[in-house]
Amino acid sequence: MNHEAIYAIYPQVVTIDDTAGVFDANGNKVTIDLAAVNAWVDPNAYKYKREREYPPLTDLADALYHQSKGDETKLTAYLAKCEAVKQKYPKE
Amino acid sequence: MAGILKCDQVQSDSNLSFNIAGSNVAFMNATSLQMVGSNVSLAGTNVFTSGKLVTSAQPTGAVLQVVSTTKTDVFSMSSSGTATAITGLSASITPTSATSKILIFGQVTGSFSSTTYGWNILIYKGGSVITGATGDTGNSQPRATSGMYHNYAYGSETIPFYYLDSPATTSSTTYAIYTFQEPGATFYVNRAGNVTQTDGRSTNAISNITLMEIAA
Repeated sequence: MNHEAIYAIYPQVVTIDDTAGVFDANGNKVTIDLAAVNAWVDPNAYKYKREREYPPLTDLADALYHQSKGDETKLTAYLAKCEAVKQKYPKE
Repeated sequence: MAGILKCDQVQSDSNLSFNIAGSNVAFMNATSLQMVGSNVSLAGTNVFTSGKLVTSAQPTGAVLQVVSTTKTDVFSMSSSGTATAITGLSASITPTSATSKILIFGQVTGSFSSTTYGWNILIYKGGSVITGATGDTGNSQPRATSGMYHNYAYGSETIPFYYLDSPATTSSTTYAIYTFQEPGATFYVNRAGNVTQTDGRSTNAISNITLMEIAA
């Protein structure tokens, strides 16, 4: 069961159980449109993909340190890696 | 044929059988004693019935029965800070004696749709929280049986719980696992908050509650 889709489409839903079903705050069962749930696309999907491939923040810390000493090389390289990830997974 | 045999010793070269009304009822040799009947009483008290050691003859600490429920599917809730039952994570037991203890143990796998949220579990009995299975009062923090600070939406964590209860009843007793969380994100049971990764960073796991009746 796509819990994210159900919460997005039916804001009155407070609990979902794969077996018991979908319920509102009063414990009433909520009927869902499975076709709509299955058709739902997570608007944040591209963010999840990007998160996994961005360079580590420790690299950014190191780059900022060198920038403070007048060397932009590492920060430029870091930002280039970030840009490449964004282009690999554009906003959908 | 009626009669009384009185002696200090019965000797046999191999096996010794006891026969009543034409049927063997017991047999013994140098290594074993076998009885045809399945019930045994000692000093007027049943010890074996139908070949099984009766509950009242079990020593303190013996496990009298075990009940277990395993939840493999996913439960989720929009966290509100209110204790809510995790659907399908309960178990019922009927103690054989009012003096028995019930050892409650198990695990809950949980996660959030986002990072940095706390979640906790409580053990309920018959619809009420077992306060003895929670931490002491004394500050403003809520009480729980166990808890976890979730720090990574792509993963889940499994937390255990243990409590030895004294229900003092021989009626069916239901134990259920409830959860309450820090509000602000969707709480998931048996999966990670974010399930976009398939490389083993997170898994679909199980939650379980097991009840053991312990002779006391």
